[in-house]
Amino acid sequence: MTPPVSAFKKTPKKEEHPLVAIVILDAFDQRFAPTHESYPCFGTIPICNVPAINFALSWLMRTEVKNVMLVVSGLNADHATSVQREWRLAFDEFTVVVCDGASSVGDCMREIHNRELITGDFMLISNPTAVVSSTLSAQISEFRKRRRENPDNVMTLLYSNRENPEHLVLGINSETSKLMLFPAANSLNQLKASKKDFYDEVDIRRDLTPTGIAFCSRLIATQFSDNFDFVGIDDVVREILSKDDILGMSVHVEVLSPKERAFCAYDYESLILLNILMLERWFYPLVPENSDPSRYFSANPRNLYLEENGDEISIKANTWILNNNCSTVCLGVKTDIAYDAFIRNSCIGAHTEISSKTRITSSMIGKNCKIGENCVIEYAFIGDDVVIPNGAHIPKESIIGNGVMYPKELPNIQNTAIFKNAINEETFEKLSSQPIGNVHVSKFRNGGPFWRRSVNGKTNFALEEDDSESEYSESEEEDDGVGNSTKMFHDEVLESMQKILESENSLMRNLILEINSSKLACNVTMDEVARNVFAAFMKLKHNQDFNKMKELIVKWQPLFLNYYKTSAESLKVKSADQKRFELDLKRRCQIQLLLAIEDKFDRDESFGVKAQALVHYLYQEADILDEDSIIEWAGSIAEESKLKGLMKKIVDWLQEDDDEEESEDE
Amino acid sequence: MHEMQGILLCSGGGTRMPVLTRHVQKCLLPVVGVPMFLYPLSSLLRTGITDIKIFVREVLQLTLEKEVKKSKLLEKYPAHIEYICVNQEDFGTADLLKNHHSKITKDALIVSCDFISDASLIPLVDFFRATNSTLVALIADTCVNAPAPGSKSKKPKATDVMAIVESTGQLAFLCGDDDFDAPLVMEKSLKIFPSIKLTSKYNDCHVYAIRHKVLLNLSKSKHISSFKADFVPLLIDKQFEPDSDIKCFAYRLPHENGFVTAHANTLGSYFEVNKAIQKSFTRLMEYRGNGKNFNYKTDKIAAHESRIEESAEIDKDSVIKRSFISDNCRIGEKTKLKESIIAKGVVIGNGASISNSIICDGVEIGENADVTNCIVAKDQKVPAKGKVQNEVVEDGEDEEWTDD
Repeated sequence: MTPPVSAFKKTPKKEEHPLVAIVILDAFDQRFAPTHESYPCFGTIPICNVPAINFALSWLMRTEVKNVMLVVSGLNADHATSVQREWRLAFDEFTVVVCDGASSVGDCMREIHNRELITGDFMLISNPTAVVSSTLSAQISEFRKRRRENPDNVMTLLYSNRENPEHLVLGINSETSKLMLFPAANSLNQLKASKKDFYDEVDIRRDLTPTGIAFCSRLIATQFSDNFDFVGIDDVVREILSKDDILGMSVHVEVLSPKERAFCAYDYESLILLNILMLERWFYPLVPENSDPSRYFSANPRNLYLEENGDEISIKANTWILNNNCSTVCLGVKTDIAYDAFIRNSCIGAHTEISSKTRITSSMIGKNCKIGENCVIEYAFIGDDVVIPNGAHIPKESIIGNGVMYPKELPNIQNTAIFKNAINEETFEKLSSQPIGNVHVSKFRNGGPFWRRSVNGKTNFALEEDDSESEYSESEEEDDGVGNSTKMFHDEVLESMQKILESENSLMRNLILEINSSKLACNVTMDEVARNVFAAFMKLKHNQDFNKMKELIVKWQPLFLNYYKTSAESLKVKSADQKRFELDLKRRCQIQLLLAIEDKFDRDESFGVKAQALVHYLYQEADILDEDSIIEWAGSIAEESKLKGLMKKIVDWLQEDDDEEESEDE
Repeated sequence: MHEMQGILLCSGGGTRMPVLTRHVQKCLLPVVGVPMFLYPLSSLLRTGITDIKIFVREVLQLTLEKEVKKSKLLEKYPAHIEYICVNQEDFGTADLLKNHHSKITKDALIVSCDFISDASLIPLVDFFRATNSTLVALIADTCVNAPAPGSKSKKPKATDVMAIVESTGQLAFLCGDDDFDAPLVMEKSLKIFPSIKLTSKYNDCHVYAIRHKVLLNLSKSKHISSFKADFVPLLIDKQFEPDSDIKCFAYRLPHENGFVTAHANTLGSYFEVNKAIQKSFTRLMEYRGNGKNFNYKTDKIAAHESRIEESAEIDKDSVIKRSFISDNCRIGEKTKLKESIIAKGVVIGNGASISNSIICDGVEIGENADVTNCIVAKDQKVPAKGKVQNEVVEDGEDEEWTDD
């Protein structure tokens, strides 16, 4: 009697799915245009004269992550390749993913998802300047535990226990660490609490700093694909919180202990702060001298770092070149610093000269610069190859781009950056510049500052203008207040469409992004969006010719599919309730489209025959409308309207189709 | 030694418990046979406050004076009590303080007549002084509460929602649950406090220590009527103004400070505190004595966690659990009394069963009657073998009108 074979069979151990790190190398922020010539990638901007990405990969190496995906936009693929060359040996797998045409983190995630590169849970590092002082083993373990308990715990955000410069606030359930309240994009300092939040014992925290790090399930990538307008992880968080009864997902928060440090830079203010924190060794063991194997640093008392030329490492200089008043300074190779210069909390690039009696505080100065005598530079970002004349006093929070010969008599204009040449307004469409002397002064078109991303919690500066207009209108005619914001939305969409039409390069994604921005700014509902998008489309001059309109419908089909159709792919990953919700939403949007056609007919009865042909075309050729929507809408047209009779032919034809199909089946 | 004044508010009408306050003013409602207002008065006296103002309706002043004298509290804790007559009904607390602001000359400890607790308020006053705060509100997560008898059982809901800085106890928001009707937009408070806890766990006991100088400001405000709903939120908001030295705190009552705390402004909380306070009753109200004791072997009466007054008559074979039986009651044989309050002069027939009910003065319960989860109003009758459940038994005024 031999025992059954199954007795000898061992059940294989269930292995943890290895965590993949997705590192986004770009910042997708035109605020960093001044450094574009030297560092088109945000991740290659030097912090303590070391590229930021080196710090990120250094701490990542200490975690359990062995599989890295470095994501970059098409324009910067070369830089990603060179990073890969340097770091591939530190990880089991190091992949570069090039996303052509990407202009946001969301675009990168959509590309990765479309290529099906994500097969399990992943760590998203959406900011290449993220630095962490620990191995994150406890946080990763907690994330996995949550995922095992409930698959709907789709994300854990990592925050450090430190007050943040933007005063961003969060609401967290302290028992479960679940994220309960999250600020709106344009009011980072504000939260709205309902009574339920008091019952749930929510903690409101302002003493937390985002790290740009999130542990995610695959569903997070799906969220980006389902929503073309999402540009960052914050948008996904807001979506999940606002629809938690529909989506059923939860976001949690891990707060590092006070002994563990983490930070990331997102504007110039935070970049300077990150530089100072790194110089002060807050992120030990992540320190400048250990983060770049191709550089040689000597670390000295008073947090002084001197980078030495590798070729001359055996001839180490024995004389120190800075006086006792200097502290927390990083010097690049072959810098020439006058002995009586005063430098603190700053970073000086290679081959830069600093002359006598100059004071530099809390600044970052690039390579090959010449700083004259008796200059004062405080809280400034100065790029490479910049010349500062003797006696210049740079205003605080100044940003000077590459190659600038700084004019001594330059007037102080707030919220600007200084460039050598006129900016390329096609590449940086959010900026404008004007020549003053031999330099070009650039500013954001919306008037926002370069130095910091938000002011008093506001990140969308154009909205203030719209608000004031809206208030003025409402005070005049209060009843038209709601209608007025809808009209504003319609006009903005029309303008966006006109602009896209005039440019030969018609990217539907950009148009969708603009429409969704207008939607948020004007605060209109989804029904109003659906109705007015098509109303604006029909109003374009180009579309007064019916044949041209038909051509444009085909050309712009991705736009219409985004608002009026659901793709089979996105339905696949949804639950039954979510499917029903999505299909119902799109059907309502289609009816809104048809109501826009009806509105146009009401204003101009000669449009009737065209309306009939248009509806037929949208159904038959463009595949934007569904049969049920047309029948439902046609049924709601007023009996006395001529449009009723015109649409009756289409309805009869649709139902005739049905009859034929049935007879064929028989 | 910096002195404080005590302010005891006895002019409220008890709008949340109308069936009980139809014949008795709220401040005189008996709690274990003792007028309600004597409990907060005792709390003030035990704090060491010797200057006490009692706001009272004119018609009740003599009654209150008599009750204070009878309680002998002043013999144990000497103090000067001044009665301030209030003429008009339905005044808010802030209105009272405004109209009589000349009577208040020091920092004040304000209590309402329905604050019933054996806890000491000395730590609250110490906290008020140590933090140099403008206002300290007493809050407790152990407030006595229960479903009200006379209705289908319903779990008592939270009464107050507030936002507290966990580490210091500073208040960022305080609101009655019923008054919270729109989402709270938090921005100014988040600029001052790095971390705030939203909670509904605590009850506001309506005990406030407050600086005299802000009471002076209160006198000049025209639009403030309610202390809790208007004035306290105003002070809390003033914390967030630039260069403001106003600080509002919440003192969280530690569990070890006392057994019982109640804000007896609802039927449920009033009902429950009558039973809960019995543990500390003898210590708080010495003048009432120890009540009747029964030896089961001798008297054949089982009494647990109950207080029975000396003048009450209890016949044999009765069972009394967690109840209070007041003066001059006659309880027949083989009766069962559980979790109930029996007021003065009640007659209960043989074999009756009473559970979770309030029986008011002069009620007659017939033999073998069954009363569960009811309120029987003054001088009502429940017939023999009657079965009453989840009801309020009181005069049918509509019926009288129909009869006429």
